Amino acid sequence: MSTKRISKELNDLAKDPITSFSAGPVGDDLFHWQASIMGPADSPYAGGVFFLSIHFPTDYPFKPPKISFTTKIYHPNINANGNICLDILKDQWSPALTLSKVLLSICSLLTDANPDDPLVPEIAHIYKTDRSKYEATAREWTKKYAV
Amino acid sequence: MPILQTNRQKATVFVIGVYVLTIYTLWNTFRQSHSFLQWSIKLNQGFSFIIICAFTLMNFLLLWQGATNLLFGELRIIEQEHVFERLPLIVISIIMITSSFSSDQIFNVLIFSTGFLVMQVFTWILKDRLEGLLQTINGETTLTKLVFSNFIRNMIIFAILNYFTTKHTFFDTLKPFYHDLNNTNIALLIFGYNFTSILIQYLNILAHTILNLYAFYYTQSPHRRNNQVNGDDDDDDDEEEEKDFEGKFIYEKCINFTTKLLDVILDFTLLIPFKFKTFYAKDLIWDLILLIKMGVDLFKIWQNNKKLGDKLPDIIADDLIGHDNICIVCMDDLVDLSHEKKHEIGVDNDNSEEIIYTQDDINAMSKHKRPKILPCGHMLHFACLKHWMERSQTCPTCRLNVFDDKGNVKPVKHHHPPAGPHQPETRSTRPTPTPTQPQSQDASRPVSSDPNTFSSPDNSTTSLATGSDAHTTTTSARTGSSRAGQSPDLMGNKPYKPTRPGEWGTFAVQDQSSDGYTMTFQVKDGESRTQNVELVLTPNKDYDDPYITINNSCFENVEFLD
Repeated sequence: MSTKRISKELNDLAKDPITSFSAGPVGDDLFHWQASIMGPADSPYAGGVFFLSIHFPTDYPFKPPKISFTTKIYHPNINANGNICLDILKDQWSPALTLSKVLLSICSLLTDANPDDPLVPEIAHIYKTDRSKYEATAREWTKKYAV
Repeated sequence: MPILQTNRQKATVFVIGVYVLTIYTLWNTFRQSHSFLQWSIKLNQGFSFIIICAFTLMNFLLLWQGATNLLFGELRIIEQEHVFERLPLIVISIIMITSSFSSDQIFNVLIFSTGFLVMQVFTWILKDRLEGLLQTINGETTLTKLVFSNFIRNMIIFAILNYFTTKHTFFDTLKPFYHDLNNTNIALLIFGYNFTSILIQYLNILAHTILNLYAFYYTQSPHRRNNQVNGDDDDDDDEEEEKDFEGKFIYEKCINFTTKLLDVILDFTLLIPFKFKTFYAKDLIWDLILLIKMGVDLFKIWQNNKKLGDKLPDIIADDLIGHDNICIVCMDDLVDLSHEKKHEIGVDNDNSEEIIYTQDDINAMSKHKRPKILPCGHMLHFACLKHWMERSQTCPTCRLNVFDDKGNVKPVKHHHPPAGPHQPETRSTRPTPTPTQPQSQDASRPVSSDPNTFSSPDNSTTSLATGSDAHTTTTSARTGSSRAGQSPDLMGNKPYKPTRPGEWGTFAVQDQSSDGYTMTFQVKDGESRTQNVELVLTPNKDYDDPYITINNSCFENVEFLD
């Protein structure tokens, strides 16, 4: 079931590509994908390309895929290991979600961070108290690691 | 990977540095001392001691790394992540344990804590490797290939290791422990407890392995898996009747439940005698709470799933009107045509929009695949639904509970389901979900329960629903535009003014302009100020069935004026 569904998602992505990201398997392994997200234009990540590694569990779509950033990014909900704090990747997962929907959610997380439930409290604090400093740092990191 | 390269270089430089320093220290202290005793004392003092410690630690890490490489090869990223996530916690707990020992047992404690640490980390990796093994399964995989894999070899190695460690540290020490407390090596026993917990984890992995191998064997026998990266189109998928191993997740839950039970028993054996009551009572209470929760959960799911087939109705042909005929879970056709019919119509491609499915098509499907309709109106294959219900008792699309607290299913009104966005709203952040589907659906149903309540724009009535619970009033209005020829018959739909709160009403649209349908409301606020509010319903061209919900919880009370 999982291989069938994953290849279906791959076909759908090939049929209607989405401009804000691209994704596909690494080599022959259908369970291990790589994706790249364009930094949204209205965010301090604009101009950057962020790589993510995606591991599908064998029980997909009943269990969420494991997604983490491999490019360093300065964000209140993404930590130094690239782990993402996103409810739909944890307890709010539903088999009705697809990888492209999840990636779109991650894109919107880049535009609108959620500092009230942070993974990196320091960044969340700066985000809340000194927005311009946060944006400057995020831009700097984007330039340094993602361009 | 340039980072790895530099890290590796750094590590090499560090290793060489430590070795050189150690040799230098050994040589230097040796030159300055006249006897072996003096030399040993010198080595255990000041800077030399630090270097010797670093040397030992580094060699331990190198050995560990070597053993990991030998057993598992290169670690996958996910395995590394897991190890680094969990390592700090286990190190803290080891420090906590060791702090309660006197210094004359330092040697024992050191040996056991290292052993425990290494075993624990290897057990985590082993667990992740099971998942990895399952992911390698493809069309060419055979059962023998799986059985003679490195994973199984490691399982055997760990079985032997676990047997000896637990036998030596736990069972052999536990016996005298109950007879004569003073005669027992407490350090050994406490580590025995930890080693036994690793054994339990190992048994858990073993059970999962057996279950998965069996599931593989079961699905494999007559059926070939289709594992091409650029998978073919649906054509050959349909020909093979999917043979699914049902209830795997329930079995997995049972295994985890048994594991927890063993944990509780283990806590208990150490708790009864004495001493570290507070230390282990905490574990016992936590484990007990978890155990009870898991048990209740398991029982509920098992009971609900047993009657899932009977309690949920099959879909009827009318349900498919305006539906895209895709099962949201497997993304396959919800109802597929029999082959004769396919050839009859002459559609072999995915152009399913023009096909009208009849009740016969639904009845022709195997019972285990025949789609079911949930109380919220969403439709899924029975097999897909069953798989998901083992995990969560909610609708995958709208997250509405399928069963109520008593395990009953609300009656399904066969109608055209609300065809809003077909997926749960994907939220970017973690706060509680904002409902996109009307909450009033479970509270209030249209008074006129026929499909007519969903009116279409070409008829100038619009349903307005009001449902009220304790403090909030939910107002929702819907409008639907079905495809030509499929729109529900609305001729009998008369405006209806609800008399009680919670009833649904039908109201005439007062003004119809090119960009939508306008309705006017009077809104009274808490200080009795009245205001006119205009509601414009605009047909949405992106969806086949425009569907607008106003879910406004700021109204306390709704009164109907003439």
